Amino acid sequence: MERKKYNFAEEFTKNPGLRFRKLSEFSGEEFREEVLENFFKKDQKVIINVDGIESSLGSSFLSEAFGNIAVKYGKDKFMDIIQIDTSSDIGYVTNEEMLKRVDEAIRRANGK
Amino acid sequence: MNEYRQKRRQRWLKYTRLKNEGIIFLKPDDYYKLKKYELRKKSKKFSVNYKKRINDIKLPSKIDFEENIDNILVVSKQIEDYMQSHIRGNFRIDHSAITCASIAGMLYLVGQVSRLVSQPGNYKISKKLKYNKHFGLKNADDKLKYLFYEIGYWQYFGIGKPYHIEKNIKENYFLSIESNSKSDIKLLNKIKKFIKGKVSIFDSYVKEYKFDDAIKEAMGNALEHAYTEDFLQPGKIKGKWWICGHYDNICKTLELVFYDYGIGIRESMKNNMGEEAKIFLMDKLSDKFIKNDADLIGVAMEGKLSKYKRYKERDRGKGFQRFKDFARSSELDCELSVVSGSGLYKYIYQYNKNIETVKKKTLSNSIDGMLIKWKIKIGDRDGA
Repeated sequence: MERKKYNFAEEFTKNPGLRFRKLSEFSGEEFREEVLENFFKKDQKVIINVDGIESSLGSSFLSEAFGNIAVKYGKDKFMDIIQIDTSSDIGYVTNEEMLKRVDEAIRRANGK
Repeated sequence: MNEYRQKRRQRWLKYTRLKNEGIIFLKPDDYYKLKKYELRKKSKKFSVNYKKRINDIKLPSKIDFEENIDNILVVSKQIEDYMQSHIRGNFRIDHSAITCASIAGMLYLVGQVSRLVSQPGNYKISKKLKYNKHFGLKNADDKLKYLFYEIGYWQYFGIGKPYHIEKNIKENYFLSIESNSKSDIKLLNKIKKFIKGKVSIFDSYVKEYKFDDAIKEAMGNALEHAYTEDFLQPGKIKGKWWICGHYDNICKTLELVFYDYGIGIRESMKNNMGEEAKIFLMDKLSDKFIKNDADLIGVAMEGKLSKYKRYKERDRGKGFQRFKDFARSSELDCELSVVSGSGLYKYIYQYNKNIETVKKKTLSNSIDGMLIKWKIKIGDRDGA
């Protein structure tokens, strides 16, 4: 299946929020439940382009959205499905931070 | 209105004089109205010796979170005493002694004074306060007056332009006080715009990312941890936080301050971590020694918090680390101060020497909530 292109700023928001829905709009929790889960359920490989965002995908957002879904489906499956477009500076930094949060979440879930 | 009262008063005096002289015996048509008014004037409230109950809150001469931090604690105590008193009259905040103040001190004052303004039942003063020049910035110099005005201290309480502002005070730029009780991500963009307009510290996206992350974590911390589900304290609004900033183009220093008047770090840990909190509130070497608040901030800053009782499966408790990450990522000399309860934690990063220093201090009393301050020395880096 062809890797789908997902434009974060246009399809979700330019201003991603905090960790939980109760704390802010466009939260990490919302992104995981409304967007990422669908990719995993459909087994749809995706490349997320984060260019065009005004404020960054903060660590809590990344941890809640990407970290938790990586714990749920396993890191191999996660890496197979999710990619962040690293062709820009924003994409590169976001990808680096996302991978750190994913590793931290997996470590924590494994009790380390 | 005064003219009407004067005429009424004159008619009453004329009537009583004529009555005493035995000239008239008939009461005027509005006799009872006049009598009611005169009796009211004689009542205690209107007597010359009656003094309205006014609580004076005297602000100290120096207000900052550095050497004069104890002064701040005195203010908190006065306000807390007032809030806890059973009979609350009006209040007067005496600024006349102030000769020196930092933006952190002012932000803290705003948070505390806002408690007085929003106290339940005080509907009359909830709208706005008035500036009285006798209790205003009498002894402050033009620069301090400018600072109070530009940071939005007066405006926050609905006071327009309380005094003449010297226009020749340049090279100081202020991000005026902003406040909310919800998340405000768009405000973050405003703050970045302010910084980008003054200095070029975001020369790579990773620096901007770390900045975004630190401010978002401060917001998230205030909304999620600083206030419990059933938070109810006089004059306080659940979730409330404030932020402001200052760039001094002469000293080439950028300061950003974030404040909430929530439960503070100790209660927050107990609330979030439940039984796990015991490990962190006690020194690991001895069960008898309870960690002080500065130590607790240190534990949070190192990201060594245990699992949260409500989210055991999640990777949490790293927010404070992001404050430090931003300080470190700026590639400039930077100071990060976190004050909560009776603890002051200061992290100093000297970029050129690559030296990190941590200072901890136990204060003589507790501050209300938590204050986070970043101070970045821009140095010779050109302004934008």
